[in-house]
Amino acid sequence: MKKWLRRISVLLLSAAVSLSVFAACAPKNPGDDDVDWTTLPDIDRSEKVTLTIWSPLEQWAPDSTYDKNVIYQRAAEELNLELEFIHPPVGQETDQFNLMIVEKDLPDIIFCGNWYPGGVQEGISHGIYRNVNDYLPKYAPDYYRRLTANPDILREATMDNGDIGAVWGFAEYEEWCYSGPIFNKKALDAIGEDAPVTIEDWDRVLGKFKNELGMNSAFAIHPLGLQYLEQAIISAYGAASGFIKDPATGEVKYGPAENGYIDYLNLIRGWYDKGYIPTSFTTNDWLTNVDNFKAMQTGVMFDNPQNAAALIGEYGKDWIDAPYPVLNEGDKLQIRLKNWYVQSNNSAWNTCGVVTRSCENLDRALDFLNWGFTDEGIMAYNYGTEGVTYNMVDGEPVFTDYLFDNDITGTDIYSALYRFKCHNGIFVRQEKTANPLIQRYPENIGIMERWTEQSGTDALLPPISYTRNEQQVIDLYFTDITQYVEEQQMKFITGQTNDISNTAVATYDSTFRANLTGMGIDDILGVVSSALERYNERTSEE
Amino acid sequence: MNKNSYFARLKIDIKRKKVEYLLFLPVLIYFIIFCYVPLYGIFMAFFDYVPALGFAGSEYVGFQWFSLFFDSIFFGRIMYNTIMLNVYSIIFVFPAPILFALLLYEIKTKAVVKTAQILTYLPVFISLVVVCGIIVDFCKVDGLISNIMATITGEAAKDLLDDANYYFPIYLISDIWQNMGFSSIVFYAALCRVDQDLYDAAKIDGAGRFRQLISVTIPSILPIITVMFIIRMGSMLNVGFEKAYLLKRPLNAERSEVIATFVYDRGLKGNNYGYGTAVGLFSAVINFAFLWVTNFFAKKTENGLW
Amino acid sequence: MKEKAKNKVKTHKFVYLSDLIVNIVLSVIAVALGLLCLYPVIHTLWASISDPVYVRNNKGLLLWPVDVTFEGYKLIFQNDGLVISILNSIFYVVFGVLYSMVFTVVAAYVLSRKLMLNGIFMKMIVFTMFFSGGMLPFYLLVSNLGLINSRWALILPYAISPWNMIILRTAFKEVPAEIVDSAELDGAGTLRVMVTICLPLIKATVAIITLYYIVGAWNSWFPAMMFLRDRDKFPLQLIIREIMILNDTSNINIDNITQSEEVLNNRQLIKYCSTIVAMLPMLVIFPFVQKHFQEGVFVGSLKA
Repeated sequence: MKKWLRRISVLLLSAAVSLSVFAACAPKNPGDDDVDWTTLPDIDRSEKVTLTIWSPLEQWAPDSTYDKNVIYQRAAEELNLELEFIHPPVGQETDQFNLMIVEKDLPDIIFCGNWYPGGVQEGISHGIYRNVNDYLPKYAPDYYRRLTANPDILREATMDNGDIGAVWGFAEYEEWCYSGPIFNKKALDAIGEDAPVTIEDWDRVLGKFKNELGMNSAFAIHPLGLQYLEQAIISAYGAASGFIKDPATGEVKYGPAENGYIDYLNLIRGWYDKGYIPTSFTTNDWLTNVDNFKAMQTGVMFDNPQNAAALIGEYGKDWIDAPYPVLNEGDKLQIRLKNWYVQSNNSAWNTCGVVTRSCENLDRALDFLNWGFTDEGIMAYNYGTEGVTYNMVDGEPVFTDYLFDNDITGTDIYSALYRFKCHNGIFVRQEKTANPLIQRYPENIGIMERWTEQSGTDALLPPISYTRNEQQVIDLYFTDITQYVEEQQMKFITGQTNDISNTAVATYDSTFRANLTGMGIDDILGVVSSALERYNERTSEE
Repeated sequence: MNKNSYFARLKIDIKRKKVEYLLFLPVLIYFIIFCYVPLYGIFMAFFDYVPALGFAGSEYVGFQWFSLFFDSIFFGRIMYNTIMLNVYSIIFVFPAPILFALLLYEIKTKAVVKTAQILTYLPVFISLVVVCGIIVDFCKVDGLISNIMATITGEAAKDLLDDANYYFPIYLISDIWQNMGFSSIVFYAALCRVDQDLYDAAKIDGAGRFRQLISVTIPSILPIITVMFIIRMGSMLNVGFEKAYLLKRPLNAERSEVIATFVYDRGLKGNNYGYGTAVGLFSAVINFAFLWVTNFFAKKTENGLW
Repeated sequence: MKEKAKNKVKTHKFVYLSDLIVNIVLSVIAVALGLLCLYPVIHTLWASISDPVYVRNNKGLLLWPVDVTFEGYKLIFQNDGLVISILNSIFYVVFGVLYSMVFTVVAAYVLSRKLMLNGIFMKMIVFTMFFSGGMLPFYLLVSNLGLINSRWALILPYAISPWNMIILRTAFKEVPAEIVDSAELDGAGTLRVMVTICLPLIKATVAIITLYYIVGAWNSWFPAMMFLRDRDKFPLQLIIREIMILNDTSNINIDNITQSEEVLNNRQLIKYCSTIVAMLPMLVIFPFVQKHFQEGVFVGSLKA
């Protein structure tokens, strides 16, 4: 009996060890690297094929699965597929992704291929993803055609080696700057001011909010931090909270190392000392900010107009938009919130469709991913079902009240967006028209257009990608720097510093910069610069 | 000569205690399969490990991860915070359940004991997310605890979690609050196991209540206390990730940043298995050393683990 | 001094006044501590049935529910995953604890006896408390054993908590050697001694370790997150975590859409309700287990 046990245990042991250690010597799909698409056979949709799709579930999606999404069901029907969605538990998406990606059997499609450490490029070179570049013209012709039509969009979607490794959701036009300063109109009227334009205006208006109206939190900061001011105010000083580039020379810079940064901090600190920013700003909930706004305790917050329209009140009466502040009248900012055509950063979900090595039906998988770029697919994903969720009026889609009607949909509008159409996904985004909330509040369009027109974006860094090693350098060294900056920033603003005493601005400045240099900011800038160079040199093969 | 006699004795021992060894076999198998087989992962600490490529395809980097960890400007403070939080925890949090158990043991009214146990046992079930939410609420600018502290210190009310000086007390007191009741159960049970005859003998010898406590009660539960203490000492470099992460803020990072949160932001978010394993290995070695030393001294009182 | 009716619980008779005073003082302290521990639970309970706007803006104590509403609970139970997850959790607890207890009792007993290899065994086990290969090899192992997405993945790899085993071992060690010897002299085999002699003597500790395992199994969510794919196998805590995170109001507004005020307010409410639901079964269990480790103090069994 003991011998039998021992044998089993030895078996298990060796099996486990050998499989684990060598499991990952999966061949890297070299056959994908040189495929002549003209020789590929046509797609045969006669057989019903099952595709498994791994995708993080958007927070507000109802039913806890996309299997019930009306549009995905329609795509499946049209293309003769069976779609099975696999979702990680909410909140554990990245953990689950990292575990899923090392399994022997992968799902056929992953909707967030960009999450792989090092990006899609590394995923392909490690053999996890298939390199779909050569197959695209044949199996994803609509995607290929639309993507290659615009070189700017194409550059965002290509990898540094020139291949298009994934099917990316993208926008065909430049999207709005959708968030910015929202002012309390009633308060402005009470103090007799218009929406401020320059920093000086802001200072004066906030002063009046505090002193004349007695507001206790005139300037409401997003609870996630100063970073979420969408670079407003800091951009007036020519600085930013992250990397920027010089519009003229293209040189990469680190925002907090710029001269303007300390001036910006000083301004915020002044506002904090004078009480325009409440001491509770570190914990003020977003809902609390809204409550304060309505109770005339807050004069300005940073948000998107949809929230304002839905929760605060009437545009022009209760609230009004203001431009991103500039230092001097007539200045043109080059930094603001921007949605790139292709959203490839890690906080973007469900925008990057990759096909894994386990997929036995590459053609059908690409066929499905391609559907979001066909005329029919674009209308479906963005607007839903004609005659039900929208109608064509003079050639333009107009939403019906279907999505808003709780009795029919059984959920509120936000969740309905995820069941009857798609908000994020792998298709051509038509942000300006595909949001029923914007359609309901058309004055918001003007607001967002103003913000978009107001500033250029030449100082922003495009969506560059780092190699795996570069990413590690950033994770290990740059995190120290960002953490240092964040802490120093908070300490300076609230009047605490390393010495828990008031340090003269100049001393603070020189120590701060010295520390940044000591932590290797120059090396980091070098890494970012080379990533930018590679980006600029991206072109697509043929 | 020595070796032969050892194995000879071992053979005899196994023969005599066949049943015991046999009983233990499944336990051994369990540990081998689920604990020892995965141990090879420790080697990831010396590689730039890519799961897709395995060890064969990953680059060997020696002690690179370790030196990166030691080189960070935050290294000093995270070591200080991790160790000091543990030291204070051993001084304040560790004795709390013991003292509470002793307190309960001295109470003769069963109903009170039962009620107190049920009440103090509750907080351990509240998930950390909620506990930290409560802490944040109470420490907000005009929260309950903040107001109390403002009255005591005479300063203006402020958010206590924005002040690094308050971090340790907040962390430790909330630890005591949450765990004291539940942890005291095992000590209380140990107290109940104490032979009443010993008490009777002590009383006959004229010992008062307090004297009984010192001479009978405490020595009787010393074994369990020692064992718990040894194990506790083996967690010197462990500070739980979740609570620290939930309470951490830029303004209290001076005291709230510990090894676990540090490694998470730098290695684990970006899925750097090598880095995470290296720091884990470093902590494990130091922890094990602490345990070994403590156990060495405990063995002198015959309460060692081995 | 205080004598209750004869058919009630025997009360302690206080001989000295000082003893009574000490008893009262200690009782007050104990109950006060208890109430301190209770308050946040009560706070959560009231918050789960109070008007969320009031709760959000209320900075002080919440001693009574305000504007009672059961909307939160209604919403939670609409999540059909929730009820199933409770049943799942019961499954994992029952089988997991049974499995763990068998292993732990056996291991603790053997290690409490004088075996030559016990030193090595102990070192081996303690070693595993510190050194581990990390999440990835463990995950791969479970995967290679074919346990991914199986309920047994939450049970089989978690047989023994060394911490619990050591406590049990200490208790076994405290059983006087004379008792064991006299039983063996009577001809009892090892198993017999363990089960019929020693185990009953340390009933209190066994009850506690069982309780520890029950609590551990009930609260556990990470293994489920790692190994389970089908939602209908999820334990309660995983669902609760989802609910918590889904309703965390600090990360609204990342995208260009919004929710209605009512929905947003309900999110706060749901968080409190889910906490209560997650805690409730454990609260109910405790009194049942409690009587086992209060069962009477140990009186020397060598007399007579």
